[in-house]
Amino acid sequence: MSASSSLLGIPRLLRKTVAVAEVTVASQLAYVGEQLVRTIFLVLILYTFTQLWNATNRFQDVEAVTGLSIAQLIWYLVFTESILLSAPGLRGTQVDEDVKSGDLAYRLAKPIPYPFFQLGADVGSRVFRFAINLVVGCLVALVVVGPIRLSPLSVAAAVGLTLTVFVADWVWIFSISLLSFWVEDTFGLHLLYRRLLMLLGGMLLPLEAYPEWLAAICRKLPFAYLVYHPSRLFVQHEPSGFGHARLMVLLIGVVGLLPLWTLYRFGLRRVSAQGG
Amino acid sequence: MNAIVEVHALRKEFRRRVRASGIRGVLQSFASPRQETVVALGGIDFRMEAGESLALIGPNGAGKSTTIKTLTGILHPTSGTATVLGMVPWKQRTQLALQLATVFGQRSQLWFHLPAGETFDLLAHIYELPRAEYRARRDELIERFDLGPLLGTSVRKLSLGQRMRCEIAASLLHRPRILFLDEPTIGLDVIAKQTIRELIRELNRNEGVSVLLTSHDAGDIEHLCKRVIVINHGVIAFDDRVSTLRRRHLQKKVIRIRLNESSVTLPALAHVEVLSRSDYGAKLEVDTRERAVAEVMAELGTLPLADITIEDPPMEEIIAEIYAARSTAARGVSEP
Amino acid sequence: MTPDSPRTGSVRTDARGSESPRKQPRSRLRVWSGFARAYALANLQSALEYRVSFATQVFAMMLNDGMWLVFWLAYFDKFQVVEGWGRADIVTLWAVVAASFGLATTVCGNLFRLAGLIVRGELDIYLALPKPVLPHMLMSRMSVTAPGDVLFGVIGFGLLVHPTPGQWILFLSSILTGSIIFVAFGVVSQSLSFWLGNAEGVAEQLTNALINFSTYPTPIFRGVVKLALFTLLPAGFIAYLPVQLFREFTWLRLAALWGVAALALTLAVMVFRAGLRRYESGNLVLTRQ
Repeated sequence: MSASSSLLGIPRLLRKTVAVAEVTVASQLAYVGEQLVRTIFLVLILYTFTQLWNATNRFQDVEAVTGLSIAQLIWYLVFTESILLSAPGLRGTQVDEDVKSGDLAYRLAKPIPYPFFQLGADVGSRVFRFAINLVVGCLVALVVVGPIRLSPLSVAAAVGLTLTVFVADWVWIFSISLLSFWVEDTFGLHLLYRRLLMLLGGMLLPLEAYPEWLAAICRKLPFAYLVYHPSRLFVQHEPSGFGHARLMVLLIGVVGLLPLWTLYRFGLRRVSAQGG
Repeated sequence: MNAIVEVHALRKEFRRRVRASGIRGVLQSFASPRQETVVALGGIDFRMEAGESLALIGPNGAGKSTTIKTLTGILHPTSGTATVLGMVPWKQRTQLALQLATVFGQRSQLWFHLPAGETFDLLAHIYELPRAEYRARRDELIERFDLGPLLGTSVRKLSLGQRMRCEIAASLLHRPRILFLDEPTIGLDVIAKQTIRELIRELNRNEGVSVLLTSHDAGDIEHLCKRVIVINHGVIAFDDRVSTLRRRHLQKKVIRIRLNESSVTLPALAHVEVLSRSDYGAKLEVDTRERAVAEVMAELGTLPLADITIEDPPMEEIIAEIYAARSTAARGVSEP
Repeated sequence: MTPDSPRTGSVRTDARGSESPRKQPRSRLRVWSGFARAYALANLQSALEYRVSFATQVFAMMLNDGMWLVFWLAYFDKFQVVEGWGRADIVTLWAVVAASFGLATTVCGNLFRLAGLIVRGELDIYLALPKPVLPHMLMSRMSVTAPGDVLFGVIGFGLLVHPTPGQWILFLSSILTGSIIFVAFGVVSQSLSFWLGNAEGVAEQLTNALINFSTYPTPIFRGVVKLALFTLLPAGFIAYLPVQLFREFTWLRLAALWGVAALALTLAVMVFRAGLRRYESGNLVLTRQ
């Protein structure tokens, strides 16, 4: 795999990756029932937060303090949770399994490079889970807090940005999984990354509702671009800030290619050293 | 006569939920679940004497494991009675467990990430063995099972045969009176199988431990047990001495040969049937009532052999034979 | 399990044990403590086989709990009170729930794997050994990340609540009842596998629900949900009642809490026993293949 040949092959590679993603989505349709059961947790969270904000509102005006109405807070939560609950499981990811079982050697023989195959499969299944979570979440939100004014343009921008987020997030998740060449179990590292994303990305509260000092930190860190920004777009009335956020998300993904590529190269060397 | 296992009309049924595939199937089974009953044991009777070594054989799903699991108190039977050492297994499970041992070929009691010696220590606590007694017994077993070189290695790094040796040694720490072995040789290579068989046979002879083992490998019985029970579809098809089984139903051996040269003509052999033939090999069946296998081997020795193996016919064939023999016998009675 | 049995045991060891016949049962307490110690040792050794993973997991667990605490601190930065609950109440709630859950899964590491063990027939090993299956099975694994939860609870409680010695005792009591209820709930929900076949998913959802409802101020829930929190999903006894005890101690409340814990445990043992009679030792799965 020389640099020039892989550069020339990129359009074809991307077509193959998209094809893998499509196949994954199609095969996931068999698990709609299972996915629906998994949304019970989303329903619980949304119900709990509605109760929490309503209870809070009896003593203090939530909108005056956070700048968002209760309905907006819940619809925001629908989107952040959809992004995060659609993320792959933390334990025993496909990459971990392939490295541990030695199946990686076989997968390398396929006519599509392993990372691209995994990209297609992972992002494909995530888009599928995201769609189910978003639909269920919106239905629950409609029931518990009623509709809010959504702008079609902002919603489209939010969904578009989220697709980019999935790719950027994948780059980092894949890099962590690649560490299983050296670490016995990457569960702890995956959990660490995910929790930072939740906390510093603004999963439960939009950054406006954070204490100023914490919000200031979060705005400087990359995590908010993967959670807060797309979700904020979702409940906004106009798609302002889309261009900047998109640029940042792309940057996060591109920067992540460096560890990914390095780990992959060194990892493969271990595979061939062990004879696969 | 001193029966240590007595089984009478033992029956075990499992309920299995039937579900059509697809989303509609899920919904349907949710609305009105349909169940079907699978009979694992159809009311079996047998006895086992102290010091005996008894094999329970039959194809997969015949009810062998269900029998062992009921006799250890793991499963509650649907109906019927059983006593082991005078106790009802599913009622006096923990007391009984102190006096017997169970080894599952497909389920390890050893800790995967630890050396087997650590599990031994743990078992000493579980069986409440006095320290000195435990140490002496452990050292004796290490010696006899040749475990010295294995004890420091974590179990996940052992081969299946080595693991099985540790597994059986572990089950003997508390000096059980009965040893139940469920498929102890499954997945093992020929050498490892022989080692395990030898160890079990010694145990039975020297320590007087009664052995009940299940297997779907006819070789296990021939080398290990005096008596055999053949079970199929939860019903006992044969219960007698191994020598009787051999005389009546294990009359055939399968010889496989691989040749160094192609298009060799096989010599005509009496009482040998050629089951299949290819350029570089052949599969032959010897009728051992008529000819000794060794004789046939000697004759084959003149060929340019690359490899030769002797096997028992598969379990299914033996059972088919037993049933065939029974039905002809039955017909014989009705048509004098 | 008579109260005087530990003494019998020590007399026996004083007499160097040799004269007493082997059949005489050793003190239950001594036996179980030796047993638990041996298991803890084996568990720890297993965990230390993978040092890096172990360390990152404990740290990640504490960060996981910390994330929620930060949420609540952020919340109380903007709001003073919710349904009469203030910052200290929430910190107490989180400390108690995290430490209870941590203690439950440290000691009973197999708790949330029970459904899978039932379906795959992996109870066989425990059933073949001469110890009561339920405690043996539960204790034979230790969650190595769960101490992170306990640590988080104790440290959080100590640093943020500044408790008096009396409150520390109450904290300990609440953790004990909380972990007993967690264990009881886990056993009952996971035992559904005896009847439903594979109930791993259902049990997981139920556990998530219990944890979710335990970690918010109970008064924000109303109606049927509130009723459920004091019956089927006993979050009220893991979270609400302990916090009430801290706010206003009464002996009656304390007795009620222990009574509920005892009742829950009894119920769990009964359900498990009933289930064991239906145990199929993996045959269900086998016949499907």
